[in-house]
Amino acid sequence: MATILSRVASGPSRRTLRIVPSHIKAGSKSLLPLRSFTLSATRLHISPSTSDNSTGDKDKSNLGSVYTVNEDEIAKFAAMSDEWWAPQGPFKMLHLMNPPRIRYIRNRLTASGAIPNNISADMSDQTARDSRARFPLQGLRILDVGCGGGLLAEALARLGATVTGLDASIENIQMARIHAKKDPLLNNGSPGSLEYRHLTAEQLLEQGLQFDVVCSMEVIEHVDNPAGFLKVLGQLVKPNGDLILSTISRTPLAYFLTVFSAEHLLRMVPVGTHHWSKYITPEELSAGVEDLADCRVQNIQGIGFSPLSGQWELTRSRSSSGETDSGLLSKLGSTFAESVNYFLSAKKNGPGSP
Amino acid sequence: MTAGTLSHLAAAVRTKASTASAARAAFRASSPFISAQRATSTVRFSSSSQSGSAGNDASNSLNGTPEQYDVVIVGGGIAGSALACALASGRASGTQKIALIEAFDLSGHMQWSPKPDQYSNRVSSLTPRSVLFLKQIGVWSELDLSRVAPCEGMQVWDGVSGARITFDGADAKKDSTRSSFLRQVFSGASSTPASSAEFFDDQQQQPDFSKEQESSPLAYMTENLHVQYGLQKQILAHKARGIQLDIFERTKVQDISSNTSSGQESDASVDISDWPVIQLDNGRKLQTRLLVGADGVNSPVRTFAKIESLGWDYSQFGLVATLQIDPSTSTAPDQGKGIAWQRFLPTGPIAMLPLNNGFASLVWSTTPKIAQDLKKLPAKEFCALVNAAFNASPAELEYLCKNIGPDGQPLVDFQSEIEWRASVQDAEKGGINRGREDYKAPKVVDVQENTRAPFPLRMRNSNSYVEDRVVLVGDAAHTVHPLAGQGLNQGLADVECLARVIEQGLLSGSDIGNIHSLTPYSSERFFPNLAMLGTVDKLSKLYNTDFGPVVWARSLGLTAVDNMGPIKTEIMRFAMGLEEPTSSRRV
Amino acid sequence: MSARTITAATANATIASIRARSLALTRRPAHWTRCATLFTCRSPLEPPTGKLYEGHIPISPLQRSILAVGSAFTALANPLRGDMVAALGETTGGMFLARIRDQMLLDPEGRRILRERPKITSESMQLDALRQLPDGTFGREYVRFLDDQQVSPDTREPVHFVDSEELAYVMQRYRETHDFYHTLTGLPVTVDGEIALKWFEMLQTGLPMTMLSSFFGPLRLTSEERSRLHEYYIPWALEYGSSSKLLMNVRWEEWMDRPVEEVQRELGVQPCPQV
Repeated sequence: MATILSRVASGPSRRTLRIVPSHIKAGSKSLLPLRSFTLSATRLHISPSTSDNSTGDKDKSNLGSVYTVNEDEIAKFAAMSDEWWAPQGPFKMLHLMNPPRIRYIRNRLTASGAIPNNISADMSDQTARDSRARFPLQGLRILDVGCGGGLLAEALARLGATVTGLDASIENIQMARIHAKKDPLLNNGSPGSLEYRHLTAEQLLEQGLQFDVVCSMEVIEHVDNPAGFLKVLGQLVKPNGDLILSTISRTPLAYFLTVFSAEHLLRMVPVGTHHWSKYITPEELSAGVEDLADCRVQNIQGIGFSPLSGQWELTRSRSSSGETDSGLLSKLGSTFAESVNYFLSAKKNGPGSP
Repeated sequence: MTAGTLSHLAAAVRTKASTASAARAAFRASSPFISAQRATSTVRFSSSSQSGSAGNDASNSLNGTPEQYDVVIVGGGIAGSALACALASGRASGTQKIALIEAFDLSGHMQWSPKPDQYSNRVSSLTPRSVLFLKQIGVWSELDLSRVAPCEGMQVWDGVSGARITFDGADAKKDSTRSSFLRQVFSGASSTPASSAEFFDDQQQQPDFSKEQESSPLAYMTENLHVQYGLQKQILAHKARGIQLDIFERTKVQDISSNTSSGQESDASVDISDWPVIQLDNGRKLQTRLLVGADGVNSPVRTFAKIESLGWDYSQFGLVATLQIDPSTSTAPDQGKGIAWQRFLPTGPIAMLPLNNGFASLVWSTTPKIAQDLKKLPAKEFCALVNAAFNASPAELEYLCKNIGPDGQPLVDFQSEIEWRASVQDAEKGGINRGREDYKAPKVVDVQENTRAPFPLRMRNSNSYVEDRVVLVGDAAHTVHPLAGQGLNQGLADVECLARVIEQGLLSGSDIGNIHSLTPYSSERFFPNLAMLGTVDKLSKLYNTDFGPVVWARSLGLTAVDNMGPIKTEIMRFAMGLEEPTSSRRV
Repeated sequence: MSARTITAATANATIASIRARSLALTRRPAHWTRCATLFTCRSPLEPPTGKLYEGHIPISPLQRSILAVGSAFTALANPLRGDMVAALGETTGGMFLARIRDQMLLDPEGRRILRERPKITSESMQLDALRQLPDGTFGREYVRFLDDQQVSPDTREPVHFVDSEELAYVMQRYRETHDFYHTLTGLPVTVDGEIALKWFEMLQTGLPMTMLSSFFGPLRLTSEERSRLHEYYIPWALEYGSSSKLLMNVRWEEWMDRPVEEVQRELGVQPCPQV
C-alpha cells in the first residue's frame, strides 16, 4: 500500500502529492527521492470519458464508459501498419529496442520467481533441459496490450510463452497475423502459442481472463486516460503475477531527445509520434501502479539509445538485482538513467504477499 | 585512410533498405573456391556420395520440399567448422538445427596422423585470443601440443636499411589483464553482453582462464590440418551427444535462391518464401532461417546476397614451404627457439615461423615470376636462396633470382656467389655495420619435399557483412595480406562474435535471420577488420619500394617505435587480440 | 707532390685535433644522443671505425659533415685542389656508392670487376704495349690522350674517407676510369669539357659530387665557354648519359684492342660534337 502523505480529492484544479512507494522501509536507501510533484488532475483520476467517438465505428461500438484508447493515436499507427516490419522503416527504433526489452522481461521474471533461475539444478533430463534452454518462458501466459505489429509478442512466443496480443487497430492486428505466419517456430514450432485479438483491454477484461504476465510497452503515453488504463491492466494480472510497463518520462531531456532530435532533427521517427505532455514520470507511474493497479513496484530501470553502438542499452538499475549491459550508457549515474525511456515492473498483490 | 577505405566505411554506415531480391544466382558446375586455407593436396569429390542425415527429409527434398534448417553454414574450412562447433556448444544455439556444407572431404581429417619429421606447408599463427576461443569451444584440448609451437618473440627488419624492431612476448605478459587500448578504440563500443555463462553448456569443462594470462606467447604456430582435426573431432562429439548438426561433405552448392515457390504444396499456414533455398549437387534442397557464408574469397553466398566486395590483387604471390633449419647457427639466445623472423624485401616480405623439432614454416611474398621459379629450383639452391633472402643484400637477391632458368635450373653457381657476398659483408662488419648486434636467423638446411606452393595475394573487403538472412564470416567477408599473420585470427574472431550474437538473439526470442539480430555482429567486427586490412595494406605498400627517401623515413619510424616500449607493447597486444577475458564480462 | 703532402698533413692535423676533443667527450651516449641515432643510425660523437684498408682514415659523422662543408667551399674556390675535390666526393657519396655497387652486382661484367678488383696503374695497363696498337683502337687513343695531357693513371688521389673496403674500391675504380671516359667521348680536358663529363656522370651514377660540379662549376666559366656548354655539351650529356650502359660495369682492360667506334657503339655512346 502506498503511503500517501497528502492526497486531495478529485477536482479539476492542480494538486500536490507526496509519494513514497510502499516497499521502502525506514532507514533503507530510498529508491525514489522524496519530491513534490505538480500534477495535472486529469492525469491520474478516473473521469468521465471525454473521447470523441463520433465515427461510430462498429468495431468500437461495444466500448464501455471507461475509455482508454485515443482514436487519433490509433489512426496514426494504423496508417503506418504495413511499415511495422520493414527493417529500416519508421519503426526501426522499436525493432532495435526489442532485445533489451526481452532481456529486461526475462531478468524481472527470473527475479520474481516466475521462471526458474538455475536450469541445470532443476532437471536431470537432457531433453527437458534443452527445452528449458530454448524456451525459458514456456508455461507462462502473457498478455501484450497494444502489441502493434507484434514485435514483442513474437519474441515472447518464440521463447515458449503462450502469448495473447491485443491492439485496438484492425490494421495492426492483420499485419501482425500475416507476419506471424512467416515463422515456423510461431506455428506449432514451440511449446508456446501466439494469438492476436482486436480488442481493447477493457473488452478483454469483460471476458474474465487473467494472465501470469501483462506487458504494455510504450502504450500508456498514447492513451487519454492513463489512470483507467492502469486499473484495467492491474485487473488483468493474476494474483502474484507480474506487470511490466515501459514508457517515457516527462523531463526536458526527454523532450530534447524524443521530440526535438528524434522527430524533427534526425527524422528517426515520424513527426507527431510523441506528445511530451502525455509522458509520465517514474514516480507518477509508481504511484499509479501501487494505487490503482494493486501492485507492488519491484524495479525501475532506464533504457537509452547509444549512437556509438547503434543499440539500445539498459542503464544502471537502482534496485540491487538489476543487471545492466556493458555498454556506454550503463556507466551513467542513476539520476540520468530514467530520464527518458524506462521500464517499470511490479508484482500483483495476492494472498501471502506482505 | 585512402578514399578506398573511406568508401568502405561509408558503405558500412549506409544501411541497405532492400531485402534480398528474387534473382537466381547461376553457378558453374565447377564449384566455388571454398576456403583459402585449403591444403594443397585436395581430395577429388564424388558427386554420388551422400552423407548427413538420411530419412524422410532427404527423400522429401529430392521430391521438391526443401528440408528446413535454422542455420546453414556453407564452407567447412576452419572458419565454418569453428562456427559449427561454437553454435553446438551454446546453450540456446545448441538446440538449433544446423547444417554444414563442404565441397571437399571433412571426415578424412579424422584420419590425420602426421609423422614427427613432416609438417604440412599450410601453417597459421594463432593469437592468444584465437587460442582462448578454441579452448572455449573445446577444440584446443583435442590438439597434440607437441605439434604446436609457441612463438615467444619476433624479429622484424627492413631488408634495405637494416632497421629492426623486436617484439618480446615477455613484455606483453606484464599487466596482461588490462585490455589493449587500441582494441577498445576499434571495437566500436559494442554493447552486446557476452553471456558466457549461458553460452556454454554446463557439461563442457570450463578452463581456468585466470592462469592462462601469466604465460602468454605472442602466438602459437600450428598446421591448419591440425586445427581442422581438432574441429572435426569436436563436431563428431557434438553429434554424438545429440546436437542436430548435419554435415554435407563432398557436396557442392549448385544454386542459392529465395522468394521462389518450392513448386510443392507446402503447409499453407506458414510462409517461408523469403528463407534462402540451397540446392546441392546431390539433388537435395535445404531451406534455412540463416545462411552463413564461410566459403572463402570467391564466396557464392556473398554473390547471392548481392554484397559487393572491393579490393585489389597484389602483384605478389605467397610461397609457402616447410623448412628444416639448424638452430645452432642462430645467434639469438636459446638458439632462436620460438622466434619468428621476418625481413621486408623490396619484392615483398619473407617470414620464417618456428615449428618444433628443428622445423620452420616459410611464407615468402614475392613477384609471381620469382614465386614460380622458386617452386622449380632444386632443393639445395632453394635453401641457399632462402638463406640469402634473410642475410644478403636485396641487389644480390635480385641477381640470383634473375639467374634462374626457365626450367628452374640455376644459371650461376649460387653457393659460390652467396659465399663471396657473405665474406664481403663480414669484412664490412668492422665498418658501416659496426655496432649492429643483430641476431641472425637460423640457417636453412633442407626443404621438405612437395611443400613448396605459391598462392595469389589479394585484399578484399565486403561492403557489408550482413544482409537479410545472410551473414559472412572469414575470408568471404575480408581477405588480407599474410604479412601480419592475421587472416585466420580475424576469421576466428568473426566466428566467436557471430556465435555470441546468435546466442543473444535466440535468448531474446528474435528471428536470428532478421537483419536487426545480425547487425550487432557487423558493428562489432566491421570496423576492426577494416582497420586491420587498411594497416596491413599500407605496411605492405610502404615496404614494397627501395626508393631512398621512403626507406629513410620508414627506417626512422621503425627504429623510433623500437625504442618506445609502451607503444611497442600496445602494438603487440593489439595484434595478439588481448582484451578482457570473456568470462569476466557481466551478463 | 710536396704541396699535396702538406695539405694532407694539415688536413690530418685538423682531423686529429677534432678527434682528440671528441674522444674526451665520448662516454656512453646519453639519452639525447640516442635520439640522434634516429637520424643517422649512429651517434655523432661515436668513435669512428677501425682501419679497413690501406689509406683509410676513419672519421666520426660529425667530422664527416665538417669535412664535407669545408671541402665543398675549398673545391669551389679552387677546382684544382684535387684532394679537396676527392674529400668532397667521399664524404657525400656514401649511399650512392652503395647504389653503384648494387648495379654492378646485377651485371655479370660488373660482378667480375668487384670480385677481382683490378687496379688501373701504368704497370697493370702496360702502356708500352698499348702504344704499339694500331691507330683507331681504343687502347692507342687512350695512350695518345694520356701523352697529350701529360698525365698518368697513377696520379689519382687515393680514397680515404669511405668506411667500407668494397665501396672504397668502387670509388677508386670510378676515379681511375675517368680517363677512359675522355677517350670514349672525345671530350677535352678543359674546364667546360670536364663539366660536360660531370653531367654525363651525374646521369650515370647520381653521385652528389657530380651534381655539385654540374650546377656550380659553370659559375666560373667565361660566357663563351658557358654558351658552348649549354648549346652542345649538356644536350649531348642528357641524351647519352642515361641511355648508355653503366660505364662502371665495363672492364676497360678487355676493350683495349677494339676500334673506338665499335666500343662507342656497343656502349651506346656517341662522341661529343667538337667545336
